[in-house]
This record gives sequence, C-alpha cells and structure tokens, in this order.
Amino acid sequence: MSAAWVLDFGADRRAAVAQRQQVHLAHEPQTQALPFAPRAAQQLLLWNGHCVPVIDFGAWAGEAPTAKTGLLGIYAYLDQAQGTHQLGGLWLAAPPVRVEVDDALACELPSGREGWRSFSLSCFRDPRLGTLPIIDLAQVFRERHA
Amino acid sequence: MNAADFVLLRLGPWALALPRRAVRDLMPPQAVGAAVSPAAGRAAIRFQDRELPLLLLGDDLRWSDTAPAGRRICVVLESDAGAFAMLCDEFEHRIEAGQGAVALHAVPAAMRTRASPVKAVLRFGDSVAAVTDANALRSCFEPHLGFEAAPA
Repeated sequence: MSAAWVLDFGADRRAAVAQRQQVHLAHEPQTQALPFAPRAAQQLLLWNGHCVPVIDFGAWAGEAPTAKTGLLGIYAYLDQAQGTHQLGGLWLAAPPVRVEVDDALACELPSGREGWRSFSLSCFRDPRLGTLPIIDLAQVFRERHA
Repeated sequence: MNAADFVLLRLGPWALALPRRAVRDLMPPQAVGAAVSPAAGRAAIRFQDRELPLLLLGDDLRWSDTAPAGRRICVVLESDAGAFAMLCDEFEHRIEAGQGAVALHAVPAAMRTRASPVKAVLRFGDSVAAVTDANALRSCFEPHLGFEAAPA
C-alpha cells in the first residue's frame, strides 16, 4: 500500500501522482508569461529560486483547458536524461485528494482516456473516485515539438 | 552572468533581453514615423542613407503590417547576415539594481519550441525577460526580413 495524490483538471478528468511528487500548492500565484512557448505551457512561476514551467494539463492533452480556479500544484519528477530532479506546475480545478493505492487496485485505462496511454504509467480504481491513471510527469514536462 | 550584459526591449506585455553587443544604434521616436514603409509582410526604414529591413511585431509577437501605436523606438540590431531594425515601445539600456537580483535560467523543456528565438529566461526581481539575440530573431522572422533573398 502506498499513497498518491489525485489531481482534478475539471470536466471529470482526474489523474494521480505519487505522494512524494506533490511539493507545493499555491492559490493565485503570480506567474509570468514567456513568448514563443507552446499554448498549453506559456506560463512560468518563479519559486524558491527555480524557474518552474506551468502547464494547463487539459490543453496539453489536446482536450478542453483545465477549469480555472487559480489553484496551482508544484510537482517534482526525475528527468532520466539529465539524472536530476525537476519541478513543474499544473493548474488544478480542485485541491488534490490523498488516496491509498495497492497493486490489487490496478486496472485498465478507462474508455475515453485511450489518448492518455502515452503519458500514463499505470492505472488503478479508487473506491470513491473511480478509475485513475497515474501520470508520468517526466512525459508531461518534457520538450515537445508539436 | 552580469546584468550589465543585457538591454531590455519592451513590446506590449513582453520584455526581450538582448546582449548589449547586438545593439548597433537607436533611432529616436520622431525619426521613426515617416521612415517606416510597411508592405505585405515586409517593411524597411531609412538609416544612415540606406534601407534596413524592419521587424514589425504586434503584441502577440507575430509579424504585423500595422504595428501597435506604442512602437515608437527603433533599435538597429547587428546580425551575422547584416543589420536590421526593430520597433519597440521602450528600450532600457541596463537592468537597474533596483529591479532586483538577476539570474539566468534555461528555458524549461516544456516551454521550448523548435521555431522559438528564446534562448534563456532572464529573471530580475519578480519579473522575467525572454533572452534572445539578433541572429535568433533574424532566423525566426527571416521571411519578413529577406536576408536569404538578398544578392550575395
């Protein structure tokens, strides 16, 4: 059994990350825009000396933008190529919810979420929140040349 | 890095930081209006008895035949392919100490695009500027500057 945070992007879209990956939660932080960046990743946050990219996950996944609430989660992930830990921000539609995960809860990606396969590590079924993909933050925050 | 290495060009909501050595000259606002000659996708400006390609950018930092009214300062930039000019709203010769600590960051991977002229992020106090240079701008906006079409 291990713990995870469930992230809510609105429009019945939820995903989970490992508990240790949740670093900080901010409400209406002052973000800065960077020109010539992808539409879903035009904002960055100056935080504790870091330059943190902020992604609208809904738009990034090619779907409707994340519901705007001003909630921003900051997450840590391992950049395998560089062998370093990096930070990334995700706009959230609601505060993260903590759940317990067990191998016995593993399941397939739900129908309608097949497009998430390329950035999902696995999937599990939570008794309260339903089927939840565990997203690979290194994939979400990697360089993409769309 | 040293804050004194950069100048700031402000265009609408954006701040671009360029190496000081990229700036060849400035033209005052009163010299700009009559000198600009925009035409479908290209523009030029008279500078020291010759015509320079002129970069006209809207507030979305895309080419615009009709640049916003605030673009009244003309900066002459020196690229490897030759000089070109660019209009901006404000030109800051240096980043003042009062603007806070200065640091240079890599562009986060998720924010990179193949065509972007942004090479780094310059942080000063609570603000950021996109670091670029004359060659990167020329490459990004080449169709509007026309260096590759010019005779050798």
